[in-house]
Amino acid sequence: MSFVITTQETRASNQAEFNLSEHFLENGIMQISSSLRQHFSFLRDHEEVVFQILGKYEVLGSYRKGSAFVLSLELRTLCLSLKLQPGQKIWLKRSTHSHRIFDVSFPYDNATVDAVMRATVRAREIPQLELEPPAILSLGAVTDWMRDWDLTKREIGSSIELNQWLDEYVRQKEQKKQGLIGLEDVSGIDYYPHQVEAVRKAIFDCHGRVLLADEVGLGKTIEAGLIIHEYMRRREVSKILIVTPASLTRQWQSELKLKFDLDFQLALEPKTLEDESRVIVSLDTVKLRRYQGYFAKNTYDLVIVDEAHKLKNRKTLNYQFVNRISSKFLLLLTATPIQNELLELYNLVHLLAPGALGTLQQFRKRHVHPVNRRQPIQPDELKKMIEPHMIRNTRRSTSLNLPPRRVIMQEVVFAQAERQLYEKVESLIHDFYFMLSSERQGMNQLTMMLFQKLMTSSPQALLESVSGILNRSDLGFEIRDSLMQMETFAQEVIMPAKLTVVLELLEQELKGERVLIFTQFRRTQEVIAEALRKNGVLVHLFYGEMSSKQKEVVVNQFRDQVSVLVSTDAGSEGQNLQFARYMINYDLPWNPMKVEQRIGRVHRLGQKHEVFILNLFVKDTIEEHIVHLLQRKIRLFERIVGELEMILGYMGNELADVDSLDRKIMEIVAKYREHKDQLQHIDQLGEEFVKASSQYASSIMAQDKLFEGLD
Amino acid sequence: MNLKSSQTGHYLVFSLRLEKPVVHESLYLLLHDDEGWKIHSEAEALKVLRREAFSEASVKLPPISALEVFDLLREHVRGLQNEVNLLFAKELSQLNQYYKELHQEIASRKQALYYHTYYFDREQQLILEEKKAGQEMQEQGELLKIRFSPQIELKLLMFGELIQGL
Repeated sequence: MSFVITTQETRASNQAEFNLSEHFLENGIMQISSSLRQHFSFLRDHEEVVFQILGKYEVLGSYRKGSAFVLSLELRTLCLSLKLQPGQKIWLKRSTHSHRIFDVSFPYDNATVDAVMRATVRAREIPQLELEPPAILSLGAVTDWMRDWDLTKREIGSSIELNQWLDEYVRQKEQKKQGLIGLEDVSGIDYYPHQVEAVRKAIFDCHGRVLLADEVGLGKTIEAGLIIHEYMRRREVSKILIVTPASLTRQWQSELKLKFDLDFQLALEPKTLEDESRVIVSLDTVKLRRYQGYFAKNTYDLVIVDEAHKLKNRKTLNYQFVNRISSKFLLLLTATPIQNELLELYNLVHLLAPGALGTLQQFRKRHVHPVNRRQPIQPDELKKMIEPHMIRNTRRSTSLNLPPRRVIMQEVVFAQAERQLYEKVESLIHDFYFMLSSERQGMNQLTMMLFQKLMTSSPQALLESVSGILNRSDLGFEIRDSLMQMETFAQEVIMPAKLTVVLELLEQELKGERVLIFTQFRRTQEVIAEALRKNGVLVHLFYGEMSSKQKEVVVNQFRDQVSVLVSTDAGSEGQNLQFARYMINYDLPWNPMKVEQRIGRVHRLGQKHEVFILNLFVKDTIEEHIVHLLQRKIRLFERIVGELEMILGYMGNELADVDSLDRKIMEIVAKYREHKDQLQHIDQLGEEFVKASSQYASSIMAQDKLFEGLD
Repeated sequence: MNLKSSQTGHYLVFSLRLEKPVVHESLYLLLHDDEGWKIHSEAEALKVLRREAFSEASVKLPPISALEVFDLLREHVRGLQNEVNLLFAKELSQLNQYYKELHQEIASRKQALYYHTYYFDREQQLILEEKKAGQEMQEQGELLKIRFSPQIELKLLMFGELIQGL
């Protein structure tokens, strides 16, 4: 009588073969022979061994190191129930994930083992989804169809119409097979071959679930728009959700309207989600509890997440929201899928195809370098794994390099009247800023901030605002007095210094050129236009309150005639003005994103000439500090349009929200009277940007290395 | 099914469009002759519809119910269902593999806890993690089902009488 289970390892299949002994069938004791010991050598004494049956059940055993056996009464019961005899074989295969998990195979088919297992052994079931594929012609579908059945209603009226219909049907079907059918309708944009290829790959190779990871400035938004358009043209999507950072919602809305003539609604309240089929919502909004209920019970055809690197951490609400949302197609847009570590890439791909990169622990073990977490251990293998889920275009692969951009800083000096006015505004701010409420009512801190910005824009704009406030009855005596003095000083300014400079430029260096002038304020815009017209310059105005049609007319006129377009920041969103190459920032927004958006209107794909950007700033005013911050610290004017948003992603503090930058700058202005103190503190703010830029640069280097060859 | 060289009788032309997970569009021709209604595939339908002359006057069709049309289409739809099943099975198996491996990992970590001093806290965490993974698996299963829930659209494009043979 044999008491030992003999083993014979089949190296090719990495399986160990066991001859069942009588001893095992009596007591459940598997004696481990010397040849089998290597399979158990990693186990500790009394360590639990898990036997997996059919990948669905687990039975346990206990390893006794000293006596070299495994005791498993449950496995014995199963063998007995299967009527296995001494001398028959079972096979064990150690799991690649754990040294103590073994897959067990029996000399019977799966159905028999399953039936016996269920009937006789108390086993733990491995969680598994047992889902039937939904039936195409389900009872519901047939019932609906029968209800609508009406032999008197036909779609086509005559045989001539039928022939036309057939021609179109066959043509479209052929086109659909061969490639994209929506491109012929897109007239609002010039698209590039790399964008068309990205759309094709996203739809045909990645089946609409893909990470669009083009380098900054190569037109990911256009690609997303083309994909929406193509799917709509194919009638494959109707319910679409776009999730973006709050700062970009309006830009998406206007770009989709302008370029693809697609209407999307901003979801400012949950009801919009219910009423509208095409919605843009901000990442911050979807996290709100009152929105969650809606997403839990609704499904989308297409979900697009812009700046998807914000989903890098799977513990965040953002990630969990996207992971739970039901959508046939999912586009994740980011230029930096890896910011700090490779696991961020894992998390993004997991959203597109859960499980495609294995479990997190496996991924970490197999791919993440233990010291440098951005570096893959096996780059080639990782590339192969992510390729079906990712599209990446680079400047090198597309050979799309923008022409150079030349930035000129033009210093302007206030004349005496303007200087007096500026000092009056400063003094008002020093005296009252911290005493005023930050609430949005009455004379508040925002009003002060507005005065400060208006002052460097134009005295006329300031005058208009001050006069408006003086009409209020709730002003304190001291503030009223200061405002009245400001009003008097402002009225004394006849020709603002900036305007003089602009007129000179347009008469000399920029004569006969198409020039785009940006200002933040409507009143300033009017003042500039008036002065230019007086000087015989052809001027067009562009501002937010104009209708889409009016805006289109103005842009066309500016393109067709040598003229000057004076625009508020409404023109910095979504408009393509790359036919102009001279841009003047008459005043500079404190928010660097807005400055970047302005630059993006002219320095973008399609621009064929060197671009000149002229920034006007007034000496010894806050503008000088803003220029310093933008030029020296943020290095905004050297960057590719789009990079700033990436950099802000690296800023852990509240500055990541650029709107808070305005408030910080204003506090510095209000707190420190001396300009050198102001500069020093604004410098400190700038250091945050410097740090973030350097982190951004190293992550770009790491991901370029990994993605090399994927483009 | 091939058309006879000479064919007359009543006809119905349907378009069927299936959405999710892949879009499939097809035309079907239903012809009624002495032997009753028969269905013809898109290629044959196109051939006949382009060649034949039709009566456009209002015609009295032999009665056919929705259920009969459904029965005629059933075989054709079965092929589509098989395609969908394959795709579904592939995605489901990837999901199951992922959650199985995740389960194994958590089980392994649980076992390894025996050697830690902070056993109870950690065990509770892992139990929670296991529960969460189970819940997430169910959610992902639901999402998968939604992604694959087919939507069909059947349209009666044209009907009438073939007035000359092939």
